[in-house]
Amino acid sequence: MIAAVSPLTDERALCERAQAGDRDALEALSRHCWPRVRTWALIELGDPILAEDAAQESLVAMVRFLDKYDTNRPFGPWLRTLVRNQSRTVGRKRKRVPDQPLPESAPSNTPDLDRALDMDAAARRALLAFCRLKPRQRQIIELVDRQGLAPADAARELDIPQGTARSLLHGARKALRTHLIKHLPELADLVRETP
Amino acid sequence: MNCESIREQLLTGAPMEDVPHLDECAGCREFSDALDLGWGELDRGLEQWSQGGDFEGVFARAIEGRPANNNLWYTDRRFHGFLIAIAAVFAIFLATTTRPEPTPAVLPDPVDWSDIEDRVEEVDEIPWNALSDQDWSLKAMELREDFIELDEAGARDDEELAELLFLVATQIGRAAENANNPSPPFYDLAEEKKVVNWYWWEAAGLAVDDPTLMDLVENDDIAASVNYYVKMRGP
Repeated sequence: MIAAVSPLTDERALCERAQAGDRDALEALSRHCWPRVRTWALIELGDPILAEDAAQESLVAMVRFLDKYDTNRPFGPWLRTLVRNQSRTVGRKRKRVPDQPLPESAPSNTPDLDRALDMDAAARRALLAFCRLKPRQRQIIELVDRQGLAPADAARELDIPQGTARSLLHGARKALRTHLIKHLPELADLVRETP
Repeated sequence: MNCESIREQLLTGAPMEDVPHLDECAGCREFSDALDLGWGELDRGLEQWSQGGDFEGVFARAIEGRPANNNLWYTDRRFHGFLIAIAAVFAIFLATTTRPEPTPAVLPDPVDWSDIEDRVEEVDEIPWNALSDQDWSLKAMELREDFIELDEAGARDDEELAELLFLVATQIGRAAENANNPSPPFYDLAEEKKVVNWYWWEAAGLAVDDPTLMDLVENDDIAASVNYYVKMRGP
């Protein structure tokens, strides 16, 4: 039985144990990072099928390169860079095949997408609405509205001016909520009924 | 405040506390509730997404590919310490007996190559007649530094980085072509018999090793030029 990892400070200890060859620590660390890796891959790519691939490749790369990780540095940015690189690689490979647009809403005729989005219809539609945003928009929504960062901190994280972050956030929220209303029929009905 | 401005604020997430309009207007209140509901669904969707996937299968695959030598004596940290001590003594000996040579920069691992990718995309989008010859030369020189950095990081032996190295080479070649100055380091003698666009020549060499790289080239002119060299260099 692998123990759950609670505080982030445990990450360093787990990394050190994993680097020393402790397989349980490596599994616990991987399991702990898996949700973050999947979320980041989706934010980078905005395509659940590609994000599924990118998340898998990222975890494989994390395990493979963990010995090279310097435990004196923060683990999160190291992992994020790794996910970003893997996502870009997967995204680049997409250019080799014709682009296939995501279906507007569930249900779809794409088994791969159905497998990737194994969840109830409303959550699935909401996620697809999120995927319709631009990468920067997804990033700022994740940082400010989900992680609770101040826009100024998000600006630093994204390496953009504060004013740009604010206008990006403004546009991202509007685009997201517009997409949500469009893709969630129950919301659309609710909004349509209002004067 | 009218309904339109209230809804605009609701859509863009501006603070909406203590707005009497929401208490008075059922339509805007429902609009606000609908947005909250949508936000809740997204939260749920992202949560379910993050918890999904075949972790066990992926982890098993990751473990298979991991070098299985972690418990060997030569991976022991005490042995690393011993090696470092030996290396330090040797370095001191060298430093006191020979002239110091510049050492290459140590690259963090993994390296974020996104800046280089962005530069490649940016150059790719510049029309050929949008810059002067001199500016194209500058672009070629900037990208050449990226090429050298990637090459020194071992990109040729790394499947993913080889793609980026290839793309950088194709764009250096294009920039050099547009700069109209067929001289080294951008044009040089290949196989001691023919002057070539050196970075397209390099790109062709990479494409001979991995023909799928050519699929990455979207510009027909570049593809034709690199393909010409591929035929020259091919088996």
